[in-house]
Amino acid sequence: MTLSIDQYAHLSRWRERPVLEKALLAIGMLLLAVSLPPLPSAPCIIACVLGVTLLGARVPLQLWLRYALIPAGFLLTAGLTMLFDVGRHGLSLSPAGLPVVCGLLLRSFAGICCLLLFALTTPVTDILASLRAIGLPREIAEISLIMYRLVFLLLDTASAMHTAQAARLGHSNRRQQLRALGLLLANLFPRAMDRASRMENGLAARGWNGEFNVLRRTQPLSPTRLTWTSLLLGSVLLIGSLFS
Amino acid sequence: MNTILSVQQLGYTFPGHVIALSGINLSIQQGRCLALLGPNGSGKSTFLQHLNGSLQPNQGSVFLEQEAVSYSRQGLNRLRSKVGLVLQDADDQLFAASVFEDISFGPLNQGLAADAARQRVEQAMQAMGLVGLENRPPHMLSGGQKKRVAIAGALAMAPEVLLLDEPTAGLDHEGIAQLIAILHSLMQQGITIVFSTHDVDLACRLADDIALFAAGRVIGFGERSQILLDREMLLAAKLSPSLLLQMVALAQDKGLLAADATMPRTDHDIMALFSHQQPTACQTAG
Repeated sequence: MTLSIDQYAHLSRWRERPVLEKALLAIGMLLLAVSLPPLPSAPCIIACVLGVTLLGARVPLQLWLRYALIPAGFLLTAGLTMLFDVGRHGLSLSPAGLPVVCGLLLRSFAGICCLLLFALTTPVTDILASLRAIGLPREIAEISLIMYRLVFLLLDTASAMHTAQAARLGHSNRRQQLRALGLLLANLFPRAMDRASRMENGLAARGWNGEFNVLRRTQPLSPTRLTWTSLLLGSVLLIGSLFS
Repeated sequence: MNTILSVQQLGYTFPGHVIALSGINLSIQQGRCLALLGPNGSGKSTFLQHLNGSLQPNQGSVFLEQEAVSYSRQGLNRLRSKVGLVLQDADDQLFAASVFEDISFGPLNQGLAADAARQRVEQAMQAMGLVGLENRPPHMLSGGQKKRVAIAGALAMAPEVLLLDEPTAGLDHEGIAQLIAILHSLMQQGITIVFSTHDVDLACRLADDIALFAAGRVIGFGERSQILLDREMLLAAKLSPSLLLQMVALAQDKGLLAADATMPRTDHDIMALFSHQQPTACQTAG
């Protein structure tokens, strides 16, 4: 089984860091990438964020490449199509030209780097807890959490059923495959309901009263790290606005 | 000895007229370990769910410390604070984002303050050997770990009775060994344990008393040796004596084990008993 990006986030060295610190760095850099002119700020941001991701959070390079290459591929194709113009005289080079496209690509890639830093170090559940802390209604946070938990269970069930169908030649031809998929989906629903009612029993046994109260472990913010982050953001801002 | 939980003339019919339990009388002694032994579909799990109020009987009553259980919110809260339940499939029980958060759910529902709850969680994690997994999400745990988290979630509520539905289902050898060690240590702390199983060897290994279930009735109730060495009764419940039980019977026949001696609990015990004996039968045959 391949691990999802979220599972890597759980195993990350920076998993324990407060979400605010990581968000300040990653989202701060993202905002800079979007708002400053791409040269020279975008290369600066890419270098900084990549350095932090690979050396600070120790995300393995291979892993990072795996997740960066997919959006990078999209960017490149988008960039290539923007180089050309389809007009009355057929295909021609776009008047905007190379510099604009390069700037756009750099800027977008910087954005991807920032988001990957955040995604590879911060699990979804941590993000939800933080959103809850800054005012997301409790109901929405709790439902999202339960959904997040149940999606994995449902996927497990679905993949087990899929394997079982395949083992009995359920997917031997296109027709069969469609039929098998229909059966699978039809079976998944009652199972999900069944699971939900058993879960309700399990929760009731632990005194559930309609609210999911749990203790969260939070790390205190580190002034040192916040200072460093601010310095980094400040210097990128300075370089970006002075030398453009 | 104190009776902590008991049921009288308990009957339960599932919607659709499927009779699951009928006429059950049973009392559970404080500090002892009771196995509900029976084949699939004999009503063990349904019975277990009555003991903490997850199901309400159609007939008869459940008594907590000689007092009939009330199914009001308060009554159920009182019952469930004293009687913890661990479901067969741990995935039905774990819902929170991390192990630590999940275990803290019960104590907070009991109205404990954050500090007290934190302490309970830490104790339970220690007791279940889960230290270091605090931040793991449930879907990144092994089956054995999930089971231990589920038990820790019940244990953190400091129950007097712990109910476990098929506790070894789906666990590998190592997982079962760990679970048994944990249950032993809980028994030593004086926690009353009730578990359901179809495994006669597991009942032999853990239980003090056994209630034998067949087709929604209790057809035998007594001390471990009394039930397990009654071959006819086991067969009546569609269970068969394991190799271990057969060897215990053989040891008694051969005079290796006095009838009033403590019955061996594991294959290890019985092997030890036989290995002290001179190999007479084989020698004469040779």
